[in-house]
Amino acid sequence: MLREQDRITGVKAIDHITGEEKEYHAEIVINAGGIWGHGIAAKAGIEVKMLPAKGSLLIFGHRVNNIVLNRCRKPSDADILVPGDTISLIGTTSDKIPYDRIDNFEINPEEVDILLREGEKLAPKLAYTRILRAYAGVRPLVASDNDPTGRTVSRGIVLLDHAERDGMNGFIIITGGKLMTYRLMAEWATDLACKKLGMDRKCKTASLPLPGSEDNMEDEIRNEKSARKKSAILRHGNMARMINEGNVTEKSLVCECEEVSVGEINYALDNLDVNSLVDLRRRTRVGMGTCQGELCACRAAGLMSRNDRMCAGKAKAELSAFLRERWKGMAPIAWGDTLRESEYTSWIYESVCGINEKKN
Amino acid sequence: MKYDTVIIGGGLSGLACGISLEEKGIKCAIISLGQSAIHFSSGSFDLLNMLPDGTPVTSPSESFAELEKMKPEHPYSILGHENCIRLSETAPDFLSRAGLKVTGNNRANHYRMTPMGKMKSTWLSIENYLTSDKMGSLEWKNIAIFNIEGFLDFYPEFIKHEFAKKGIKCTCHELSLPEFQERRNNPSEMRSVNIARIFDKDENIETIAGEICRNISGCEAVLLPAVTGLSSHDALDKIRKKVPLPVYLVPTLPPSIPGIHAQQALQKRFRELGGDYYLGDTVVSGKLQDGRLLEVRTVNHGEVPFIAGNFVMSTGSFFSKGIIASPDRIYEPVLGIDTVYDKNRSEWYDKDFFAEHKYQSYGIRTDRELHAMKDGGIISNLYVTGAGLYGFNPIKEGCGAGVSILTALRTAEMISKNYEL
Repeated sequence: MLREQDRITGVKAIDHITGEEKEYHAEIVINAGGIWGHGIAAKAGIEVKMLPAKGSLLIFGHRVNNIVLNRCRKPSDADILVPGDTISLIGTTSDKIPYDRIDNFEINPEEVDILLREGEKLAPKLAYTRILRAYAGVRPLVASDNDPTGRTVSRGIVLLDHAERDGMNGFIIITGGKLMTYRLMAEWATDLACKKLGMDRKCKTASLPLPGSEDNMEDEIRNEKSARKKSAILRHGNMARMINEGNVTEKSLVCECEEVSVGEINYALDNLDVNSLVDLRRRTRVGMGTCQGELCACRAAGLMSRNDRMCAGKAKAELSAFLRERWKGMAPIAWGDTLRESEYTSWIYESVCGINEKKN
Repeated sequence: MKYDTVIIGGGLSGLACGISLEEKGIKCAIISLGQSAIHFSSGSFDLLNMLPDGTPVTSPSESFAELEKMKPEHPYSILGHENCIRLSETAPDFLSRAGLKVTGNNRANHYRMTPMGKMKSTWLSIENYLTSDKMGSLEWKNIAIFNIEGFLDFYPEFIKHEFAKKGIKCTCHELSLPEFQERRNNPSEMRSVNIARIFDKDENIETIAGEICRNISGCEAVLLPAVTGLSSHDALDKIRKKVPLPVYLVPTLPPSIPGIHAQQALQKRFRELGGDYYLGDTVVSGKLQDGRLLEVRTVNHGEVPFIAGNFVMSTGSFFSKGIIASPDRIYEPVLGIDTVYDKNRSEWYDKDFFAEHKYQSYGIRTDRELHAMKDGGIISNLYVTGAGLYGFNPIKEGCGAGVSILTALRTAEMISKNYEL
């Protein structure tokens, strides 16, 4: 944090793409670092007491339900079954973890067993539905300021002006909350920043459509006969119109599970700030389907290395990193068909391709 | 239905066992669900690339004895190093009799080229594939690589990158055929098998060879993806006649054309010798009595059992469903014969995808003569061969194909000895 006496005047940061260290100066710095917000505040000498709570969930291979199902009881493990994209997920558990483990935590077999056991009560079908992977994240729960024991924990949105709370000007934190409320959180933070800057402007986030949702695409989705194009519209909304599938290669499928074409991959690589296979996965769902990147990961890495988008050496390193990241979510549930896929993936990449980037 | 021997599973191991038995005049049936792991192979067969302690193996025949000391439960150790040396010596001829011409021997591993351009140690490679006796050495400095336009399972850029490290310059080109354009209306058509069907046609070979010849000035060799040799086995020979440089194939990502070719050749050999290959059938149960398997029943043959003096279980590992993992156990699904695994699920895996995973070594328990066991008791006429066996890591040790072939050949010997007695 760049600081002049009782004022934060900017930040020093590393650009992870170029490796460059840069200074950014601003009248107001907003700390929106989630669970890492605690450490960021500490850099300014401010304590925001956070209680990291690990939440694990299981992702199923298809949509078991089309509306959110919630158990009518006090919040507990595995009481919500949520459909999203092409999958359904059951969640979550809640385990306090020490702050020094927020970058390095695991999902243990007991959590998986609880999620399955409780999940079946909500939807008996889950007992025989293919599980794709397990996932865990850390919630940024904030301890109330007036309770030094940290027992009173807020699960709501926390917006603090460090000028009022800690006498540090030019610095605010927005944290807590949920993904469901992220735009509201943005609005609160923006409104506070404007107030501090003496600006009287209304925040537009509640009324401004997100990129791709400017046009209503419902009819196009309904009328589209090609599963590939339909999937692309579901992912990109009206931005799918920018996908070029004119030439012969562009129509080929990279990912059969999620129906991702070469055209869509190229569109994402060129327009959606994609710097890694993980970025590409987030933009297109490549590698997120049933096979968890068995063949599509290699195809996508191959495409990244074409047309000088990325050097072949980096693309290959990306492939190894991607396979590692996929395995992290598969290992906790690797039995049945998931173990079959994993064994097959190991054959393909290690035995057939000869990739073995063992960590030392 | 009565046979001398019934083999459950028609992959590399089941076929090798069946062929070997038929060559000895023993009447066999193979019951196969269909696709096997060979469909996804590299075009090469590995015998032994690494000892369990991580020591690289350059000469498998000289390393079997050490392996035996290091890992007594390894299938090779069960066979014994002398048997391993003797049987691996016979394998090239064995494959050659099935029409599979291979290079390599058990005394010195050679190197094959992977779809990623890496050189990887191996035992036998099917002819026409790019191999080298020394790691990283090829005799050329300029190579032309040709891909098929729209084919995503072959990566000239990756090969070029690896070769550049060895001081070899590659130029990458794409071949296009009008027939491919029509195919592309279905976006999943551009896979190796579909391409091979078009590539192998005589009229297309002319175009392909012409296109290659126009792009090879200054080059010393030509590399093509393995998308040929499925329907016509001399397509590559025809290209070689027209192209004035050495032309070699590089395996692609699955499905593997050399793998499918190998499977077909072995299947043909087995049938020609008089074996019955029941394709698309699944064994569902068996009748065990007094330590012997009397019969098995299948989906297609319902109430009509397969009766035999000997049975061989060559059903493969997890991928082929020869063994199945549930959250709390690993079991053999047909007869429930004994398996070896750790009870605690968290022992099954390593956190790192590229590390050694214990699950890869789990499998069916046998006695020292490859007899299966049930509840600790030996089943005297049921043998286990191939990937389903316990005690080896095919990926880390690079021995999957070798274990499949050698345990199959040894089982065939032991069964035929029963008949002599």
